[in-house]
Amino acid sequence: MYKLLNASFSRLRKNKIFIGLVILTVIIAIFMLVSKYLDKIKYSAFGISSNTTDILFTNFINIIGFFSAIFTSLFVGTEYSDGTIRNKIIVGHSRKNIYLSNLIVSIVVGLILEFIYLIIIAIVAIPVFGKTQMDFSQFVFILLDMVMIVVSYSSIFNFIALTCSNITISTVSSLLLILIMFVVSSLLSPTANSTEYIQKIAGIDEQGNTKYEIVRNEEYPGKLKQTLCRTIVNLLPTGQAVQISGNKVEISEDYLKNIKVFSLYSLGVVIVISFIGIYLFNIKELK
Amino acid sequence: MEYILETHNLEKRYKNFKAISNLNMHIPKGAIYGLIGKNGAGKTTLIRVICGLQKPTSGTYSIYGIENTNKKIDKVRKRMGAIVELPAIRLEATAEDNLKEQFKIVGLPNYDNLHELLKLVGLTKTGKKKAKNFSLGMKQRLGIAIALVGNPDFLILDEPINGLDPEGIIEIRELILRLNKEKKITFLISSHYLDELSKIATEYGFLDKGKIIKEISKQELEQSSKKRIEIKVSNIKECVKYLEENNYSYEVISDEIINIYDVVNISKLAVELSKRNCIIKGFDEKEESLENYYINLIGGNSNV
Repeated sequence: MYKLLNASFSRLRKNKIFIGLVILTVIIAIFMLVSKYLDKIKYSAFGISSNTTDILFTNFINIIGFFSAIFTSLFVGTEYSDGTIRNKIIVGHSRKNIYLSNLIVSIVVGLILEFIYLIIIAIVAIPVFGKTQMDFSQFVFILLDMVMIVVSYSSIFNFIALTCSNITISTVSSLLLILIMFVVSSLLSPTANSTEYIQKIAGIDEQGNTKYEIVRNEEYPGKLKQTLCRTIVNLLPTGQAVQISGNKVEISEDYLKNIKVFSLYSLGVVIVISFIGIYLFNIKELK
Repeated sequence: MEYILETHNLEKRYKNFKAISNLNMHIPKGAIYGLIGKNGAGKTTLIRVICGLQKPTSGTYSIYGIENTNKKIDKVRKRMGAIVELPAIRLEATAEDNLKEQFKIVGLPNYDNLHELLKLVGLTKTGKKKAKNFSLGMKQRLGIAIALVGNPDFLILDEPINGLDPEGIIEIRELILRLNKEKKITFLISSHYLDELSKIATEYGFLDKGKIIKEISKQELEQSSKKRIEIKVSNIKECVKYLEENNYSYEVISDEIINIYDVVNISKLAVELSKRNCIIKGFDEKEESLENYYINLIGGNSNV
């Protein structure tokens, strides 16, 4: 395994896709910082403040999936298109080790990109926009979740890249899959996060204050359907990314509970997909 | 005899199609084993199975005496190298970078004999040129260099001269012979070019419909090959008459040419025929080629 990792990481240093994605990550980080800074100038006159640092901190997790899909399918796919995967098998490397070494490289690349972004944000955003509004434990859980989302993406795209020997098909499939996962996550999220009872404006009292009443949510899908939707959303890395990222005006109890278990969901996804992937790659007829 | 590779009733099936069946093959140590067969005979499938790229449906094979079902087979594979169909090289990298990667895959601690390998295959002057800009012959030689990383003593080359120009063919042939002679590397070579294969192979395996129908050494082939004398005469009737009277084994090829399959004293034959008003216009001693042997063995069209 060490030999395979050594060879892959050496290859990584000169890999144009990796270098390109690093540059793109830096550009995205700078773009987001500039964009938020301009927003700050624009809205500060109105006295509007927001948790900009938190938003910046979590936003990239929505993009990293696409980067992971591109990198993994092209990096692994090139091994098939150039035929070099054969060189590894012919000299006696086990397929399990080849699969796992590619997974590790993909994870490391995903984490490098994510942390490049986070470091740039941390260096610039904290002095400019202020500290994070998250408490320490929340911050740690979110960070862990983001790491596991990257691992989860890598395991999914490594699975596709190694079980499909055509580089074009695996790249297109990976990109399509992440789009589908985002659509599914967005469609299921409202159902997954809906509550049985909601607060509704009941009118205005004599002092002119808004009156609220608790009523049953007519769109509540029922406990079973909601649990199913929530499980699907939580299992999908895109579902977790959608929930973690963005502006959190109100932090709900459910949200705090979810971020503690997201990494466990991801771990489950990684283990199951990798086991199936290793099995399928093991029986795959290579040319 | 010590065998580097043996197969025992090896079978590879794709759904209902048997690509190879009951295949038994023996490659002696130090040999250049020429694997000969038609298109679709199962040559590449056999090589893929031996290289571990595909699993046999049934039967076994052993490399250096270790069966494929034995977990130690992965260790034994370190002693072999292969090019299956096309050389497996990174097209975006230089020859040196391709070799460096393979050094790491094999687990060599340094690049000590990297330049020696490049020199061996004649690629020392490629510098920063990427492999995608190499000629087919250069790619093939780089593929061989990659297969040689880790000093294997068994090399499998699938159609190594396919698509090469005459110069490239000579280069590869000389390289194979040099590696076999100097480094004692055993070769398994599949090729369509029987003429070319006959120049280097020391053992032959004839593959037809997924089975090895004959294994023969070069010496045995030479001994069993029929030698013949082809003569061109002015009077074919008189010549045939003479050959019949003297119980010669012969074959009339055309109005002027006859093949004689027995030992003939040409001077005596010329004198005797001239008495019958028949002049020998020309003669040539010929040996049965590998191609003829192959055609006779499998029957019908060669299409190798």
